[in-house]
Amino acid sequence: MSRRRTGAALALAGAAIAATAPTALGASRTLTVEGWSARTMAFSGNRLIWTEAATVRVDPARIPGSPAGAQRFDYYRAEALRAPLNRASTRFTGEPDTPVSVRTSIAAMGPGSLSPAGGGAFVMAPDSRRFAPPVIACCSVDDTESVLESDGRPSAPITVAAAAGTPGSVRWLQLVAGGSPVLKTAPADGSAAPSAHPAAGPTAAGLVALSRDAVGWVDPAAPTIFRLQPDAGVQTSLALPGVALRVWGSPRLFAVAVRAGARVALLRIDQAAAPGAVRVWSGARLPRVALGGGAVAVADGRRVLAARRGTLRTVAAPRRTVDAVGVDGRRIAWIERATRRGARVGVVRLGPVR
Amino acid sequence: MRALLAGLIALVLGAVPALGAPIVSLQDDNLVNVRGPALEARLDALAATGVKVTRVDVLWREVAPTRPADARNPADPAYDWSRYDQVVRGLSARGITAVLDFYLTPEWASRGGGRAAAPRAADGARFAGAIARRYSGTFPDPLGGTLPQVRRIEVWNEPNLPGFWSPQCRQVAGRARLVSPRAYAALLAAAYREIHAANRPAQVIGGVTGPAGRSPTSCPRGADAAVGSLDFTRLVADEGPPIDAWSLHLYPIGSPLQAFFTPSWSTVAQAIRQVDRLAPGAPIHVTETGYHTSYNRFHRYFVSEAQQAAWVDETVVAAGRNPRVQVVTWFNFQDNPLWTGGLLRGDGTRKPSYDRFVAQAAANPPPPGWAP
Repeated sequence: MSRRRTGAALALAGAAIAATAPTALGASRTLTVEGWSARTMAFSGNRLIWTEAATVRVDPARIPGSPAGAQRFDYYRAEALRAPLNRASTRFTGEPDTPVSVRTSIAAMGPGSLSPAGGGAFVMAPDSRRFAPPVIACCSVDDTESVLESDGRPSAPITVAAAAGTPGSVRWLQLVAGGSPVLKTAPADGSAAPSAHPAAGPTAAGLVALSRDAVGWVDPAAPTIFRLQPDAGVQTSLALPGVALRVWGSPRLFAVAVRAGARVALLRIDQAAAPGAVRVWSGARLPRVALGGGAVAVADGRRVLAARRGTLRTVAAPRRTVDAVGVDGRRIAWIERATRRGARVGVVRLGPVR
Repeated sequence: MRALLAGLIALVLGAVPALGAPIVSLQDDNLVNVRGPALEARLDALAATGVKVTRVDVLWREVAPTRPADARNPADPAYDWSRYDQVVRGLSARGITAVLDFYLTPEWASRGGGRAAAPRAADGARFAGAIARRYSGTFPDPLGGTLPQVRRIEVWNEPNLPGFWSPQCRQVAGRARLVSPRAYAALLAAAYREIHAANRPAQVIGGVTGPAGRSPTSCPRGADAAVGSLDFTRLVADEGPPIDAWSLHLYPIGSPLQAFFTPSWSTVAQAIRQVDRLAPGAPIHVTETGYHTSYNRFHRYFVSEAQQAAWVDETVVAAGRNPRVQVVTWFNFQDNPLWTGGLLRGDGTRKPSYDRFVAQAAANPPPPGWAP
């Protein structure tokens, strides 16, 4: 065993949390968070979880006590935040914490994959075009994260999808230059090295997603065919009504956005019913999409729509742009853009899916 | 001649001695996890970098698993120095000067606490004295002759962080009272006396502060909050323990020349003002610094391998801008899953930073008084 430097880690983690702590209101129907960061949301047990990615501008003019001559610089963060909910998931019962904080000076990240694992646990894999971000499972009973994949080599394979697998396990898919994608599986507590085997065919970031026990993907060379490979079963194919733009996955459910003339259509693909697909929404542009608990949700500009089956119905039509949406069966959450005293904030709201 | 040779090597490799020319050092924390031929192999690998100064953790809990009857006497049968004798012998044979630090409280000295429990000052100081006596240059080597001399001893590691020293604070009247600085100052004062009594020329290095910025305003349950490095230095200075040098650890967010969060290279001068209250003009040792090249839960900020390589050079430039900084130690030699700031990857292959470090170590050797 090597020396453990937990002290330094705690100190730095504390600094990270202090730097990004949302301005919570306590037990409330809404929560206010800083900034209009790119976000992905999900429910896990009695927690609402979201990942957010942003550029951190470190400006000595705005930091009291900065040494003379200090100059502005940037770094990049991708973080997971967790807010506790009441039993009915209609109110927030406490302030959010930040159990995972990925920070780098390499390049900007996106919020990437966020997959709930139940009981407040989740799997997170930020994305980046410039380097291979980590795959993280959070958290153990003592609130410790497990870093399941973290490779700093310039040639490191890029993770393009990550999800909770069978209970206690995590799976993630990596693109390998010149080879088949590789599906890795490891215990969520990091107690064993990942196992790896080839999975799926040629694909690209954004065109592949994982469910608990299947891989769904589109080959950029054949962009109108969706392929589904269960862990135990034969591969099936589904002809899409247009060129695939994006693929999402969750337990037992996939969704594919396709180009439909000048519009975008969203198809729901239930794993058990595959290779059938149901068109559930169409709009002018690629929306923000969330899957969970068998439901599909969409945030399109100032509208939030969701349904547990069939065509999506309007859940909310706020006056402000919706930045993120998360859904889990009958419960849904979204973040609206707002300003408070001139500063950009997000207002997190909860609602039912009827 | 040696300086000229170092300068020539530096020119060939592209590193130029920094303005203040700090000694460039490197720690391999895996030295204390191996023995026998594996330890010799790691010492060879360390020597291959050309480094002439290294830092070695002496794990008190491992050396003294049971309470010694005479804790000042390194020959007490309760002590097991075998690993450290091999390390110190091996470093000396390779022309590398050792800076020893000690920490990890044995169960018998922890008053029921764990390995990070703050020890009684007298217990810790007697162990410091035993280290100083064993490596005073006159102590018999079990293999024959005498053991090499060690002239620099750091008192503890990161005593402002709860992972190494507990408790850090107590909740008093609704606010956090920071208790670790005073307790540490007592250990430092007692260790100073014991070390100098056993090994008069030894340099006693205090502080060894970990990279915490702010101190807590309320003390959490378990007292597991970090005390800010600058606050800790100020509060230790209030107690007035004697020192010969002061050490701090820097893991900046941002490049060495840009970063300005406390603690970073641009805030070292603030620490020096406090150190001067204890010993005006005392040298500053930065006995840990570095940059990680991938995410790990013990250090959540990381850079690319190319940035790390470039920032080895910038680190030496930043250190050289403050003439009080005498030593800068890169931590660590090789990655492990919990710490990815190495010059070598976990599989032993070299990162680009390896070559930059080799150039800087050649360009910034220790002065003659630092020979092992």
